[in-house]
Amino acid sequence: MKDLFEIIDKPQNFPYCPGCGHTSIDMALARAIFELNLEKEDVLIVSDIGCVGLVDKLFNVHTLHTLHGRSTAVASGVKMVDEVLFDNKLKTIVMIGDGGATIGLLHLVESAKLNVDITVLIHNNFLYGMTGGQHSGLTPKEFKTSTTRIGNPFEALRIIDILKNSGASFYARTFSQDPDLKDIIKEALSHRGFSVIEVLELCTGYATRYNDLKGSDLKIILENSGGKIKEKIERESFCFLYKNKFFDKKGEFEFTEIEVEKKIELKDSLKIVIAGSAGEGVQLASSLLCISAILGGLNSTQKNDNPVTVGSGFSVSEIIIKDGDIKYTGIEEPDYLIITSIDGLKRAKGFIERSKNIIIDESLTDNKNFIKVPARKYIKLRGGPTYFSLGVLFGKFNPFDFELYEKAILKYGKAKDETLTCFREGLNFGRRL
Amino acid sequence: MKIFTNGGELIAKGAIDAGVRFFAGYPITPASVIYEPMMRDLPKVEGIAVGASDEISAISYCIGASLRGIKSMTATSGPGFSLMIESLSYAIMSEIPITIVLAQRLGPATGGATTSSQGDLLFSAFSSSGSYPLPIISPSSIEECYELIIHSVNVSEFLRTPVVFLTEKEITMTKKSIDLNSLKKPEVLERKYFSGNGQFKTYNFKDLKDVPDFSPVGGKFLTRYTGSAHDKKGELKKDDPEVIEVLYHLKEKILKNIDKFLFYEYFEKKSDILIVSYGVTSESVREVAESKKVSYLILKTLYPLNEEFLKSIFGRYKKILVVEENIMGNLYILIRHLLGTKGYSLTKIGSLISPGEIKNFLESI
Repeated sequence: MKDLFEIIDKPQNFPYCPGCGHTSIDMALARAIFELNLEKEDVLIVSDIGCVGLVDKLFNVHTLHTLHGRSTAVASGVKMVDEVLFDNKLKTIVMIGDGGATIGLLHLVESAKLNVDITVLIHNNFLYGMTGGQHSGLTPKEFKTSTTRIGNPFEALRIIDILKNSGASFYARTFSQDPDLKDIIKEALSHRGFSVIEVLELCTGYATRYNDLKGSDLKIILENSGGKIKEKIERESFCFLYKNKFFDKKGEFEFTEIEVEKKIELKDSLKIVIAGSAGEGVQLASSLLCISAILGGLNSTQKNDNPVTVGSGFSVSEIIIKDGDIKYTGIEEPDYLIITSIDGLKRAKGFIERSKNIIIDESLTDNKNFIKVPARKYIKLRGGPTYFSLGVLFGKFNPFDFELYEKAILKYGKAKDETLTCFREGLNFGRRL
Repeated sequence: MKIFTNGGELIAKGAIDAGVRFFAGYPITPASVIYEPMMRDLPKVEGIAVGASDEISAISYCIGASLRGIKSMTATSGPGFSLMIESLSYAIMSEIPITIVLAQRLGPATGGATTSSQGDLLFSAFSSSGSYPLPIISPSSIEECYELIIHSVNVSEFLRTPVVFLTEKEITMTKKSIDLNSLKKPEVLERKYFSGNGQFKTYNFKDLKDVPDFSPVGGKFLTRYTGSAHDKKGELKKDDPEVIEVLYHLKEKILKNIDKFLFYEYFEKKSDILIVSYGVTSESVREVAESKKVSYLILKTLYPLNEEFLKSIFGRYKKILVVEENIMGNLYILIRHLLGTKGYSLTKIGSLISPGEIKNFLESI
C-alpha cells in the first residue's frame, strides 16, 4: 500500500462536526492499518448506529454497517467463520459508540468471554450525539447533557472493567487526542483474541454546549475516571479450541437406526397411552415400545406431553403402532391406557372413559373394571413401573411378539438387566390374570 | 434402514445436507431438538455450531457467518423469534441469506412451552418493519422436514433473503418411524457469486427482480453491506431515487421469483368441498380425505402466496374450509378475499385438530 489515502478519505471530507473526536480515531485507525501494511481486502470495519456509523464510506476496505448494538455480535459471526473455516486473515474492527456499547453490552461480554479475534473501538463521548445529546450509560457523574441539565446523578458504567472481567485478552483506555492512540490500535490489531479500546472524546455538538469544557479537559476526565490503561493477556480463543477439539471426530449424523428383524402381522392400529410422572422414565420406555414395533416391521409414532419441567409433574406418551402409514399422531380412544402414578392419573382423566383397557397401579384406584398392578413396587429402577406395566400388557393381551420389546431393551435400553427383569415380572403377572 | 426420529433431527440433518455449516442457537422448547443435534453433528462435517447468549446474538452470529460466505441457520420459538425480528429486518434490507426455523408453541408471550400451536404465520409473514416480503416455508409432516428445510436453505441462498421455516412442536418433537431411503433430497442450490466481470457493487441489479451477485466480506472484491437505506453500491443515502429503487427491488426480488419455489400438495376428488391447511394439521386433513369425499390443498410455501394459482383451484369448489390451530385463523385471514362467501374457518388451540373434529365441522356446513 503506497498511500494512506488509498485506505481513507481525506479529513476535510469527513462528515463529523469540527473538532469531533471521531475524526482523530478514524485517522489513527487509518494510520494503524497503513503502518501494519494490511491489504484493503483483509480489513473489515463493522460499524454501529450513531455518528460513529458514518465511518463506512470514509474507508476503502470491506465495510459492514449493522444495527444498534449488534455490531460486535455480527463481527463475531464473521470472525468465527474466518478463523475456523478460512485462513483467519480478516482484521475485523468494530466501531461502536457509547449507545451501541450499552445496548449491545451482552455481545461485548460474550465476545470477550469467547476471546473472538476482533478489535472493538468504543467511541465514548459521554452521551448520545446523533439524537440530540441525551445522557448514556457512560455519562460521568455531574456531567450535563440534554436530559441531565443539572448534572448526571449516577456514576458512569466502567465498561473496560466489565470487559476485563469478562475475559478480554487486550484492553486499553485512552482519549482521542492521545498521540499513542495509533500505536495502541496497532497493538490491538496485531493481538490474536478479543481486543477493546475505550477512547474518551468530547462531542463538540453537545458536551461542550452544556458543560464548561475545552478539549484539553479530556485528559483530566480520563485521569479522574481510572486513567489510561493498557493490558494484554495471552489466552486461548473459543475458535482455536473449537477447531482443535471438535473437528477430530468425523462421522455420520447420529440417528437411532433400526434394522427390521422380522415382519409381524397387525390387523388394526394399536393406540397406547402411557401416563406417569416426569423423571420416572416414561418416555424412554415408550420409545422402546415404538422401537419394538419397528423391529417387527411396523410403523410407530410417539407424541409426548409434559409440563415445562422435566423432573416434576406428569409425563405422557401417546403411541400409535400400525402396519401402514400413520398420519394424525393424536389419540382420542386408546386401546390401552397405562397409569403409573398420581400425576399420570390426573393428566389421563380425559382418557379414562374413552379407553378400552386400563392398566393402573393398585394404589391409585378401587375401580373393579381396571387392571390393578403393583407397578410402583418397581420404582427403584428408572422407568420400572412403566416396564412392569408394559410387561402386563404384553402378558395379558399379547398385542404383538413380546420378544421384540425385550430385543428393544437389549439394544436401545438403559440398565438393561434390571429393565428386562421388571418387564418379565410384568409379563408373568399379566399371563396369570 | 428405518430410523426412529423427530422433526427436529430431520431438520438438522436436512440443513447439514443443504450445506449449512454455521448454526447458532439458544435453547427454547420446542426448537432445542434442532439446536442439540446441530451442536452434536455439525462439527463432524467441519461446521460451526455455537451456543449464543440470547436469540439476538444467535441471529447476529448467523448474519455475520453468512456474510463471510457460509450457509447459516438458527432455530427458535415465538419468544425467541420476537427478539430476532429487528435482525431479521436487517437481513432483508442487507440481502443476507439465513434460514430461521420457527417452531411454534402456544402463545402469546411465553405462552405454553410444551403445547403445539400454529399461531405465528401472520406474525412472521409481517414481522419486518416497513413490511417487506419474507418467504415462509412450512413442512406438513415429520418426514417432510428433511426435504423442505433443504428447499428453505435453497430459497434463502438463491434469493439472498432470510427465510422462515415455520413448524410446530408436534412436528419437531413427535417421534416417528421413518424409512431413511424414503426421504426426498432436492437439488442443493448455491448463492450466485460475483464472477469478477465488470464493476462489483454489493447490491447490483438490472431489473428490479434480479438477485444481486454475492461477494463475501473478506473476499477479493471490497463490499459495503448495510441495513440502512442505500444505493446499489451499498452507500448510505437518503435523497436519491436509486435508494427507493433498491427498496422496490426487495419486494420484486421475492414476489417475481417465489413461484420457482411454490410447494404444495393438491389432492383432487370429485367433490364440492376443498379443505385448505398447512403444517401439522395437514396430517388430520389427509386422514379425513381417506374416508370422506373431499379435496384438499396443503400449502407448504405459505408466504408470499400466489393468488392466481389459488384462485384457479378455489374456482372449482362450492365450499372451502381452512383448518388451522390458532385463534384468529391466520391462513384464513391471508386468503379470505379469495374465498368470498365460500369460505369457512375452523380453528382451535390447546391440542391438535383431530380428523373427527374436521369431519364434524364438515357435517355442519
